[in-house]
This record gives sequence, C-alpha cells and structure tokens, in this order.
Amino acid sequence: MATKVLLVEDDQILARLYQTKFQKEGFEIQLAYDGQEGLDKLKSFEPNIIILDLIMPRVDGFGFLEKFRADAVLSKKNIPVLVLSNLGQDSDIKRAQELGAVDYFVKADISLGQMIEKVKKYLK
Amino acid sequence: MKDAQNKKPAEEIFFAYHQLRTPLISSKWIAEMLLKGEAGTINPEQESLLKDLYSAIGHANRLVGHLLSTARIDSGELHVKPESVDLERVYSDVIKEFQPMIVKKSHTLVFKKPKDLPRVNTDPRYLQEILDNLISNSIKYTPDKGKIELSINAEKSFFLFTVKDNGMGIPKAQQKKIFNKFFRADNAVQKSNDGTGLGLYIVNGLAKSLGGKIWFESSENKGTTFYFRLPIKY
Repeated sequence: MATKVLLVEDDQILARLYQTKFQKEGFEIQLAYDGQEGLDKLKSFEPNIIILDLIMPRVDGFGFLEKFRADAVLSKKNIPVLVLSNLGQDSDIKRAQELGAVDYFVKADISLGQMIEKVKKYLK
Repeated sequence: MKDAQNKKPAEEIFFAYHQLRTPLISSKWIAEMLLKGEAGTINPEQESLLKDLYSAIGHANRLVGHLLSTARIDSGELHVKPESVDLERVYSDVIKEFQPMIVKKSHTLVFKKPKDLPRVNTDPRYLQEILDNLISNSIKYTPDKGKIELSINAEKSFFLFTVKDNGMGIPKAQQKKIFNKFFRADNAVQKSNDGTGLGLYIVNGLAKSLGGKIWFESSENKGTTFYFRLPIKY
C-alpha cells in the first residue's frame, strides 16, 4: 500500500510541485491549502506523515499543531509532523517543536529530492 | 552600528522575505526538475539555458539570504544553538557546493588539516555560513587558474581556519572598511557588480556571535588570507 502524505501548504505552485514529486516517488498525497482545510482532511484521510507550512491564512501551522495535539483521537495516532519553514527563524522552529513537530525543513536550503529522503527517514 | 539601526527589524520585513522566497523556491525546484529530465528529455541548448536560469535563481536566493542574515545580526536575533560538530563533514559539504565554480575557473583547491580533527562545539549553520562566504569570495575574486588554500589548525582551546588565495587582494587604503555593511572595495566593484557588500559584514557578525574572531592579511594583486579563530567550546 502506498505511503500516505498530507501536505498543508498555501502556495499553490509549491503545493503542486510537491504533489508531482511525491506521486512520482510512489506516495499517495493529499493537499490542503491552509491549516483548517488540513484539519478537515484528517477527518476522512489518515496519512502516515504530515508536511506542514507555517505561515498560512485562516489557521496557520501553529494553529494546526495546537488543534492537532488537543484532538483526543488524532493525537493518539502518532503521525509525525514535519514543518516547512521559509526563513528558518529559530523562534518559529522552536515553537513548532514545542507543539509537537518532529523536525523541520528550511525550504530554500533543500531540494525536493532531499525532502523526500527526509520524509522516508521518518517513515522507517 | 548606530542605535537606530539596532532596533529589531519589523515583522513586516521578515514577512517580506518570506513572500520573496516562496516564488524563488518554486522556480528553483522547477528548474531542477526540468534539468533532471523529469518532464521529458531536454536538448543541449535547453540544458544550457536551464543551467543559466538555475544559477540566476541561486543568485537571487543568496541575495535574500544575505539580507536576512544581516537583519538577524542587526536585530540580535541570531540565537546561537551550539552542538557537537564534525568539521570533516562541514568541509566536505562546503567543498562539494563550490566544486562546480572551482572547476569552471580552473582553480586549484588545497585543503590542509590535522590527521585527527577534534569535534567543535558550535552552531554548524553559522560556521558553514562563515566558511561559505569566505571561500566564495576567494573563488570569485581570484583570476582563473588561481590557488585557493583552506586549512584548519587545532590548538588547545581554539581552531584556526584559514582561507588563502592568490587573487586580486584588497587595496591597502580600503582595508579598514572591509567589514562595513554594504562596503565593496573598488577593485571588487570593477570586477563584478553582483556583490552585495554584505558577505564580510555577515562573516564578522557571525564570528563574533560564535565567540570567535576574524582578521585578514591582503596585498593588492597578490592575494588575501582570511583567518577565523573559533573557540573549541562555545
């Protein structure tokens, strides 16, 4: 069975690029364009891993993590959340980790291929 | 720095960088995918154009990175996170990154280090950024077929990193200003107009934040050696 990924990213071009790349690598991927949509998707889709942008409209990445952690059902599923950061600002990364994110990427520093590698690492 | 400039940069500035970075990242990833032939085979002419596009995007990305590092230094928001760092690894990453530029300019790269290199307790991101900037300057401001020598000496309580080249050097009269923000030496401006004048300002700011020190020796048309002293333990 294909590994399932939920990607929460508001930039549509970036989101489509991840989708193309992850699909090529054999993943099943669902997209959400903000935190609220991500939380809604989780009602019907159970991913093996979540990739989460931080700065988004409506519910941002932090809001997503707070609600995700507070949810009695979701928090028990042990789904790793990897956070995407544009700037690598320490305060943001620290806050995301405190909210339960297992790791982070600074988008400008990595290629899509490296991102796939990192995702695979957390699926082992 | 003047007090007025020492204030925290407004959140808006970080937000603007965020906004600026997103399209750059997607452009970079698209160029990467096309170059790898993931959207079909490309012909040599297309490949050459895509490589130029990729390098232009990389340049824009670095500019944003420089502005961001400068904003962090000026606002005191560097938040050093020391960890045990394998210097072999840092150097192999840096050298790998610059290999294409070294080959393109037909430079010779020499790397001298002690046999057993102890680990250093520092922030690897900033150490890497310092070395990146120093090595990139050496490659850039040394005429083709130059010699770039990197070395590490491990002393009792500190490491001494050197980056030496036989390039254009820094004019004596301007050496005092070389770490100033936005300053670029006259001969560097003549050579290329794509520098920001921020690289050495950043290097100096980061070195200080790691408890280290940067200095140099340079003579015009003969070469420059930068020294970076970094404590073994932060």
